Amino acid sequence: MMLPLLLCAALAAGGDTVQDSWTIHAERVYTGTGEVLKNALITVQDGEIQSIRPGRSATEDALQVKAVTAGMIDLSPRVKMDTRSVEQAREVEPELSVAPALDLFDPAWERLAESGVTTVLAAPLDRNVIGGMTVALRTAGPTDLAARQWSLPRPILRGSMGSAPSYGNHPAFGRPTDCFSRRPTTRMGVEWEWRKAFFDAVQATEDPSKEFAGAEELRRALAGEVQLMIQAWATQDIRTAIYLKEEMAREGFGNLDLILDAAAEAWREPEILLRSGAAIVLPPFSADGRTEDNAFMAWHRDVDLVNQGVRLCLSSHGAVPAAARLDRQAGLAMRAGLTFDQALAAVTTTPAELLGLTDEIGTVEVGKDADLCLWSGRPFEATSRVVGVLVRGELVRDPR
Amino acid sequence: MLSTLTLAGVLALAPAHEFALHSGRIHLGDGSVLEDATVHVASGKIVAVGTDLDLADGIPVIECEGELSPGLIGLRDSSGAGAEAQDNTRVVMAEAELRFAFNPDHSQVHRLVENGVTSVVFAPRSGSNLIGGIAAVVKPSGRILVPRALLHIDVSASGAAKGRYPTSTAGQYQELERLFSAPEGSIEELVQGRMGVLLEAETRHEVQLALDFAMRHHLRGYLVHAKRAGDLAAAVKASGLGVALGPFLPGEDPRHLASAVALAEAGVPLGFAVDGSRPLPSALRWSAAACVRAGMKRAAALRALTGGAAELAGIADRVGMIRPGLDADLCLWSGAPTDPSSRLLAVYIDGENVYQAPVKETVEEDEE
Amino acid sequence: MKTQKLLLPLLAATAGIVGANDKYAIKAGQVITMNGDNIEDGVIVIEGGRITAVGTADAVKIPWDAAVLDAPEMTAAPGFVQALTNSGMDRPNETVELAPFLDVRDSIDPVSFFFEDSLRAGVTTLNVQQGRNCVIGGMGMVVQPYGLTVEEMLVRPRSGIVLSASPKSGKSRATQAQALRKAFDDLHRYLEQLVAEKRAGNDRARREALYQGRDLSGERGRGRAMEGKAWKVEGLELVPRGEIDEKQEPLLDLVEGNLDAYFYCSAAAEVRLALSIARDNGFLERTTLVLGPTCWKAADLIAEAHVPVILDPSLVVSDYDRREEKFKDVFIPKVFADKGITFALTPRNQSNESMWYEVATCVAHGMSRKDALAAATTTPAAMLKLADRVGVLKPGADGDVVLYSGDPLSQTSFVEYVVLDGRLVYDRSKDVRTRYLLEGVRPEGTSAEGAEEDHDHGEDPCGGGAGPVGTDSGSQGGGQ
Repeated sequence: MMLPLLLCAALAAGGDTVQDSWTIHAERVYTGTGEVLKNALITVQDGEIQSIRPGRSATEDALQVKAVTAGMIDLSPRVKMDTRSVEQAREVEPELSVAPALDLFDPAWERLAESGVTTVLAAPLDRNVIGGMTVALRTAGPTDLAARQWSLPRPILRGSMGSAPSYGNHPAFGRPTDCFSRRPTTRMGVEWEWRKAFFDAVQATEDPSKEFAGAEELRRALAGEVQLMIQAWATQDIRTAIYLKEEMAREGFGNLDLILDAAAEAWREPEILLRSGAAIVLPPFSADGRTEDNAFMAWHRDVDLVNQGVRLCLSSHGAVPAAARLDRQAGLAMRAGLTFDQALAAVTTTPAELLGLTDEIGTVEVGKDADLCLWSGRPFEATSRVVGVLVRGELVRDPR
Repeated sequence: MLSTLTLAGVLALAPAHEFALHSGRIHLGDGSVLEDATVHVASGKIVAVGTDLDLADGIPVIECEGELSPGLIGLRDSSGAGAEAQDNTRVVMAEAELRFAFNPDHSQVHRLVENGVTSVVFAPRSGSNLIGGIAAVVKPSGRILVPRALLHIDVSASGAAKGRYPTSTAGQYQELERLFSAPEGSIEELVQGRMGVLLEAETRHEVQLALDFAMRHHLRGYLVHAKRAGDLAAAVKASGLGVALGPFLPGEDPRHLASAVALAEAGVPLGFAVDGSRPLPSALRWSAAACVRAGMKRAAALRALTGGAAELAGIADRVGMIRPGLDADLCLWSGAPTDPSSRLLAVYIDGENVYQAPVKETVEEDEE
Repeated sequence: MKTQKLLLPLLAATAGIVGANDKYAIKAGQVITMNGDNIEDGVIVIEGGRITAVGTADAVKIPWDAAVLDAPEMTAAPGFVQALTNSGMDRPNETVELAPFLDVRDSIDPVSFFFEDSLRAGVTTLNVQQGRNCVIGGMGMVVQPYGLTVEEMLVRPRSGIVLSASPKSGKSRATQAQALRKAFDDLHRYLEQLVAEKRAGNDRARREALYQGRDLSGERGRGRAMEGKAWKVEGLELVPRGEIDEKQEPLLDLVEGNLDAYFYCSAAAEVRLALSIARDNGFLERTTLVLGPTCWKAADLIAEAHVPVILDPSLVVSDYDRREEKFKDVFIPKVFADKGITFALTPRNQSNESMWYEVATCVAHGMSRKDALAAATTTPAAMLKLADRVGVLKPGADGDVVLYSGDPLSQTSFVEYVVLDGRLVYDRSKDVRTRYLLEGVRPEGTSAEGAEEDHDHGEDPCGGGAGPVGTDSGSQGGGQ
């Protein structure tokens, strides 16, 4: 008898009983489909949006807010990306998943949820060339990964270009002292590992004796069944990632579907970026444009890629200060030139599309999951903030 | 004062082979108590226990001023082993047997006796081993009760090796699954149910994964170091695993104690560990007292110190209770064993009086 | 691209006497005055550096010879007032514990990017004070973020001195408290000794003052009875003020209630110390607390002492409640507002948390726009004793006006123009650094892309190899 109570206390942010149906009245509903509904009443039942209709609430206990958007989606939240999230004893680990490292008891998830981020893509730490499979999950719900994890039509494999995978490695002089006496120790070494991994995976189809763990995931990436997310901050790393894709295509190995994460310098190479069809996830905006790997993020040029047809998402990298969370990143993107609709898309529909979850999340529509963000004013403006959040119909932040 | 002297006097005269102890309260070890009862011991074993024993003439009956209980059992200990309790030359030390590190002459082992601990699971200490070795059940008297009792598997952060495979959670389970896919030696015994597991998992997340793993491979045994496992009490109960609680120290996080109480209320088999980061035999009874203070039933706490722990260690047919046929491992306390202010007066291992509290004149006078 | 034009009357332009007649007018679609209601289609007239009229276009006549900034789509507002900063200086801290004899005017760097960034963020008045790594710091001054010399930047000298209740590095709270108390005890003893020496006919202090070339003329040559509320030294009127050691005089000014004090408290536990030092030495009424984010926990104590506070830029702090295992956001200004404590906001000008953002954050958390804006304009102006001059657009005030492309608190608005004392000192369309940040285009005449990185690595591409022997490559390379 004690047990369910305890679990409830641990799980439900609200109170003793979990209410599963809600009525929300909003002065504006930014549906994400291009429509803005005024004075709308949204009902939520069994985790889904039951109805959206005009009018005021008949009941007193409706949640009254200024605005509603879909819950935000962060493809690079970098939560729980610690050293145990990636197997560093080997540099290429496509067969491993970040799933076992996701500690759902960590309060960081709840904090993400309360900031309006309802789904994230969790990835292994960028210490490996190919770190492993990512996991898309909801930020709130039971502390049971199976209940929160999304089954993606095309899962996402994560790897890294640039200095991150080689940083801290050292060549073995004599007897290796630890697993960091390893390749790669340079950028070119990182690039070489990438090519070798794919080459070996293709080789193994011809010679089964060369099959290795993870080869299947790599071949699925080449077949386009698995998307490939590569961290690449600087131009040269973005180029390398795209050239890798083009080389694989040229060799007849397959067609990699790229998502470039932390692509701060994507603006320097709009042509090859467009040619590659790669989507990008921007790192958080920094006031002076300086980011990692010596990459310079020119605000306006980066977000302008949207107008050129690049699929662009924003991310917070798990920032704790209120001024750097995902809603603020969307605001800064508007400051950098995105329209409101584009900024909204960059934190809702575009990431939902990349996850292949457009039927479930990303917009406010009847039948979609009730992952909602409730605002005190116009979303993304500094004069308003997230005051309420629902994740699958569960109120994780109460606007009252 | 008088009776204490009597007791000491009689002990000096009585032959060790056959005797009886009479006490106002005898805790049998399963939570039940006999009032005004006698334990009959012969050749190191318990022959009989009851309120109305028919003892043959000539068997000395020792009058005990205090409460009798079975000897306490520590579910994880490495007293006296020092650095021998952990070998990190390799990540997987599945065939390392801890009994070879057991030194009954070490002063730390004597400390066990002085705290009423008569059996311990002598286990590897956590370091950077995924599998630390095979724990033995030993008695501080030097007897090795079960040489290959439980296999220590560490899926906590400490089990993730620094600088070698596996460094990650995913790698830990990848390696475990590899080992369990073609089990040999101790792992085979584990999979076949002939050996238990001493599963080290610290955070709730680690416990979650560890429970999944144990259920996947139908393991029996218990969790150690899992101080918040009570938040997952239903899942722990469903797994069939027990939990070795503690050691709890003064100032322990109240959530750890609440966790212990929740486990007890969910009916999870419980015991107490002696060894956290170092052997602390005195913490065993303190841990039980802390649990009682946090709301655990006194009988449940005492059972976890004795009969319950014996079941988890797989030695319930040998020790842990005051029952005919079991080893005569007994403790005499000045009051309730789970009351931290009770004093340990005497300890018997295999019927032998291995410890006798020094008579404290000043204390006695104070009480008068 | 921009529709706004700077309309210069023909005569003024040809004669080049815009500066000479010192008349400047701003027409804006919206004027936020911070002095009553906002004005639609407003006009601000500035003459001789001071505002002479603010009103609607119908009501205010623009002098025929004024330069006019016509910005019908923009919003004009008073510049933000930053109640305290330690930036814009060459190193903000001195190693000595007691440095009241120092003056930040010797440390302010007029060409520091900090001031440029402040201007860009719409901050037009800043109180520059020594850093918090001290026991008692030097004299601060109020400046505007424009000018080639400190004198040009000056708004008000001697704006007060800083004290710190937070331990100077290497100290504990206890030794910091001891050092603060000792400073005033030492002052007391020093003054008594001066009086005793004077009474005994000993003129050591006078000789020392003369030797150091201190001013002993006029007021400085006369003694004055000690003022102050907390404690007094009898007979101080015997000692000419010019004879008082300059290490001690600013402290005497504090005790006499003639100087403002800015007291740093990084944690709530330090507030009590700061207040007791200020109270025991009679300058509580002239004390402003400069608070770290967690000091909101001492709000009751602060309310009781009736002192104003300057807030840290982090307005929302995430407190981790270990018992409930939850993060709880605390919005700090509300804590102070609810207790009636006067507070000023401070920005991080070189981050995304500049002053408009701080004000907007307050609005997001339920404060009225008026109150939120006041905390960045009129309130800090009053703290700096400049209530009639800055933070407000009204006749008589300094001619400092910021023009925003839209609502100052909107994500998509930017500071387009800044006018200081009736001079246009910032024009975003000509701001090369903003252009670099937004467009990635380096200003003309600066080093080409990539050169900066080479420079950072400290490797002169020809230096090392070109040198005759493997000695100091820098100097050798330069000589080739």
